[in-house]
Parts: sequence; C-alpha cells; structure tokens
Amino acid sequence: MIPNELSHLPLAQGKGVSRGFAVGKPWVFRNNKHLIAEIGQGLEIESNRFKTAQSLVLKNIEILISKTRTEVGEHEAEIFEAHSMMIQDEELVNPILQIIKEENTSAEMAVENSFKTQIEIFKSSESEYMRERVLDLRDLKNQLIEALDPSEGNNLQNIPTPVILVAKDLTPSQTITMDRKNVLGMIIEKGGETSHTAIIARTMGIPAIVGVANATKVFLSPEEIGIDGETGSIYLIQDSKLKDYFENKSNLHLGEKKKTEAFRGKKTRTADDHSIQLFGNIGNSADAITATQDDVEGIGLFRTEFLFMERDQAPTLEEQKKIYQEVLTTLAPKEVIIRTIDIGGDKPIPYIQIAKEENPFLGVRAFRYCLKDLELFKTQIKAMLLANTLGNLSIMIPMISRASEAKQAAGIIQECHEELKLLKEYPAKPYKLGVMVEIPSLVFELNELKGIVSFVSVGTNDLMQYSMAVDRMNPELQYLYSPYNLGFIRMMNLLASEAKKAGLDTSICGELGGVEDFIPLWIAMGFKKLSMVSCEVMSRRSLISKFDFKLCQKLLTEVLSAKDETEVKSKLKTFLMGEK
Amino acid sequence: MEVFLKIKNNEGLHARPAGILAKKAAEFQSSIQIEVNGQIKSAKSIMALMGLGLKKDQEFKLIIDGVDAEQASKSISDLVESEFKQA
Repeated sequence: MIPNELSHLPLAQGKGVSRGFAVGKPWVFRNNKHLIAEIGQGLEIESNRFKTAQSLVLKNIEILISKTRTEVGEHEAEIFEAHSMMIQDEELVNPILQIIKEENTSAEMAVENSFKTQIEIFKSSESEYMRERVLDLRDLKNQLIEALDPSEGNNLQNIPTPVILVAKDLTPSQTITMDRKNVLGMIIEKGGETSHTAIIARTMGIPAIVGVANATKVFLSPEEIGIDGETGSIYLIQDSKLKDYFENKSNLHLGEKKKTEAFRGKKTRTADDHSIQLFGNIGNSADAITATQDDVEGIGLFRTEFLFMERDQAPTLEEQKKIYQEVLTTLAPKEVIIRTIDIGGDKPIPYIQIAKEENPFLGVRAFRYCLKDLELFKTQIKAMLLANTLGNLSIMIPMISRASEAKQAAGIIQECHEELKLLKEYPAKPYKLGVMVEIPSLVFELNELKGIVSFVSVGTNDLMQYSMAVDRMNPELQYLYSPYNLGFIRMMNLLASEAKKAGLDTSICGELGGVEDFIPLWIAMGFKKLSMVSCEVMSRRSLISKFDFKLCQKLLTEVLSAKDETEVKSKLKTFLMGEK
Repeated sequence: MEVFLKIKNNEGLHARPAGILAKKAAEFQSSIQIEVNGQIKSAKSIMALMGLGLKKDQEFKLIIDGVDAEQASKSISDLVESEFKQA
C-alpha cells in the first residue's frame, strides 16, 4: 500500500498477479485484427494501398535476406528469397486486386480472404512439408496487414522505449515474443491469477496486474503511472514525491534480488542442514536459458502445450525433438521433467478436436485426449526419447486419476521405446517416468503406483480446484479458492506421507511450490523438490537457509491441528515473520 | 512441346526448389506450364508450384510453347536432374 502521508488514491484497481513495482508511461497494445474495415474506399485507393504495402513488405524481406545471408548463411536466406518471390507472384497478387475490384472491399479484407484460399490449398496438400508452409503464408499475410496501416496497430516485438504495457489480453505467444527489455510492468484487462499471461509475467519477473476493466481506454494519455504488482493498485504520478516512492520501491525490489546473489551455485538447505531442491518451471527453450541464469537445480515442469498453440497443425517429431534437445542440453546434467501435452478445457487448439463439453475441466483433456489421438501422444513421447542424448529426461503425465491410467501411459511409452530401438540414431538413454497428482482420487492410490512410476509431482492449482470443487477462474469464487484451507493442507500432508511410503520421489510443481508462506510446510511434509518460476529460486534459497527443520516440523503439527483457515494463515505468517 | 520429368530431391518441391524453378522458368519468353494429375498451373509462379505439393519421385509434365522452348526445356530438365543445386 501507498503510505498515507502521500494521500493518493489509486486511479484504478485490478488483481496483482506478479510482484514488484514499476513506474513509467503507459503504452497501449492494439491488436490489428480487430480494426479491419470491411468496405473499401474504392478501387483506386485500395489497390494503391495494397501496392504500397506490398513494396514495403518486399523491402523488409530484402533487408532480411541480406542480413540472414551475412549472419546465418546462404541456405537459410533462400527461404526468405522464396518469400520475396511469393509476395510478388501474380497468383497471389491478382486475386487480391480482383477481390478489391469485384467485392469493393478494403485492401485488408482482400488480403485476408485471398490468403485464406491459398492457405486452404496448402493445407490440403498431401505433403507434410507443404502443409507446414502455411506458416510462411500466414507470416506474409501478417506483414502485409501490418504494412497496410502501420499506425493502426503497434508491434509488441518492437517497443520503442521502456514502458508499462497495457493490453486487452495477450496470447501466450505474444507474451513470449514481446520485447521484454522494454516492458517495465503490465496491465491487462482480462485474466486471473493463473492465466498464462500472469504465469509468464511471474516467470519473467515483471510486475503485472490483471482484471483492470477498460485499461486500454483509460491509459491512453501519456502521463506516467506507477503500479504495485502485489496489491494490484495503479496510481497516476502527480508529483515527484509519488514518483520517488515508486522509484525507490522498484529499486528496493532490484536490491533484494542482488542480496540473494550470494546464494548462486549453492545447495538449498535449512540452517540445520536439511536439504531440498529448487527447480524451475518453463514453457519454451528460451525460458530454459533464463532458468539456468536463475540457478535452478533442475526443471520441475516444462509445459509443452505452448509448442502446440498458435499454429495450424501439431509440431512434427523433428520440430519437437529439436526443442526438447535444446532444453535438455541447456540444463544437463540436471534433471528436466517434461510434461506431456496438457490441453482441453481452458486451452483450445484449432487442430485438436474436442467436442463441446458442459464441463471442460472435468472432460476430455490432457492424457484423456492423448488416448484418443495416440499418434499425437506417441510423436511427442518419441521426440522426447530421441532428444534424450544425455540421459537427464523425466517424462510426466498430467490428469491421471488412478493407477491403471498411469500403467496405460507407461505401456505406451514402453512401446515407443521399443519401436525406436529399431532406429540407429536412437540414443536409448535411461529416463524417469512420473505422474502429476492433481486429481484427489490419486492421492488415495499412490501405493498402487509403486513399480509403475518413480515420481509424483503435485499440480497445486488443479488439486485445489478439484478437491474443493471451486472453478479457479471464476472471480465470484475467489474467496473459496484458498490454499490456507485446512482440508487442502491435510490432503497435501497425507499425499506426501503416502508417496514416501510407496517409495515415490515427491515434488510440487504448482504455483504453491514457490509461495513463501507454505515453503516451511512443504519442507516439513517431506517434499524433495519444489518447482517454481525460476526468478524466485535464489530468493527462496536464501529464505530456506534461515529455516530450522525442527521448527518447520513443529509448525506443521500446529497447522494440522488448527481450528480453521484464519488460524492456519496467521500461524504461517507469524512463522515467516520470525524467520525473515 | 511436352517434357516429362520426375522430382529427385528428398524434400520434394518445397519452397526453396519451387522458388528456384519458378525463377528459372521466368527467364524464358515461352509460356511454361506444369501439369500434375490433370491440374495445369504456370511454372513461373512459386505459389502455383508450391500449391501442387510435389513429392520425391512424383512425375510431372511441362508444356512449353514459344520461341525459346528448346532452351527452356533443356535448362529446366538440367535443374530438376541436379536436384535444384545449380541456382
């Protein structure tokens, strides 16, 4: 909160989802897509607009060609030469001009419609290679649309100065590819705490606030704003005092980061030498590099579904293998737990056909979908096994409700392994297999997992929402979606002890793995690994170094016999205050 | 004149070879068309060539008509034979 003597009220309020302070000018991201006018301003104007855009794109491609030729290689440059020919090709250009003429549309609409037809032709090709070229077409189309009216939209990948990014909503790929060095903070109209934007913002250590209604309209003026990513408050910077306050806070945030540097390269252990491992969560190969810089002791969750999003067909075995290999080699010899695709429900993908469901979170998702599309699943498993040249791969299956499903998954993976053995290039290195515990029924079948898998990892967000029957995306129910819930904490304790009895390695890869309040509990319960956004690893290592294992155990005993949620919360907060 | 050819390179007529072929075809005055499974397209268009999605070992026909047909036929045949290595 802002201290009272500054006597400012927030200009707007949202939900803080990624901690930290930032101050700067707002920069509103506008997505081109929504702004296309259908009807044109006449044949001559629209044709000329198209031709101007075409030559602009061509010029950009030529720059790209010469850059690629000198920096990468001749062979790689040839693909852009193909782009340059495509954009000048009459087969592509004439239909666009024809649509403008015959249907009196805007150049943008003509480009959209004409590319749609071309994309259909490529998609229906028998050749897989050609189907993939849809991406080239889409790329060209986007460049043309952008060139048609550069002032109408702006480019997330090229933000001119350090700003506070304001957007309606961002897709995962937009968040990943944005120009992060110039993003001081983020304000998003949509989304909740567990939206992808929020998760990614935390991964990148950028303060972020979601659920700010009309943000893209409110923050159009260039006046500086300050944001508090914890409380979700946004202030208009009216005087130097307030500006100083925010600047100090954001420097302090950076200062804390510096202090934790002392823990780089160290093992994670409590003051009385009880050790635990801190892993990182990632979504792509670039994150793997960040995670290494953040000194993770391994990767506890590589969410592969991002590789499958924002495209027209599933990535091929080769494409996937390349990415998995990048991640595995970046981290080697440290363990990397790759989770098989977790789609369905909240994450629709165009080429994945899941019939409309009343209740997608309880429907055909993750491994359940994989059983219906074995080719997709086996391709992913094979890509992982082929990428495992250094033997640090662990495969993790999500959405498992009973031991028999784990057995089924293990059988398919074994089958992939046998099939690959026929290939010369198969490294056939050892790998581990594990499952997510996110469905409450599995907590009571851990013993039956013995001999099938070697580890379990808890997805705390889903375990919470499934065990309390609370939709975590529903803002009306946020008051029930609380990790301090007694029943939930007792379930976690049971889970840890049952897994230990079954000889399974246990970890937490959900959001709660990294939340300070709960870390003493996880340590006392006996979890071996906590996986979190990588930027938090060193500060958590620093925190844990102050803990005493015996005191953590005492805290756990007290919490388990607390009378309600309020008492749980106050005990955890008090403990943390004492340790800090 | 008509020439019968076969794709030899492993990846088929994807973007790069299609570009090389279209560029070569465009060097000649003659009209040059490509026929695959009854579809006839201009061989001077990279989009048309890519849209055909020709794979390794697939056969196709070139229909060349014009003053430099002879040279065009030889030049393109060589290119296809060499698996598009001579750019």
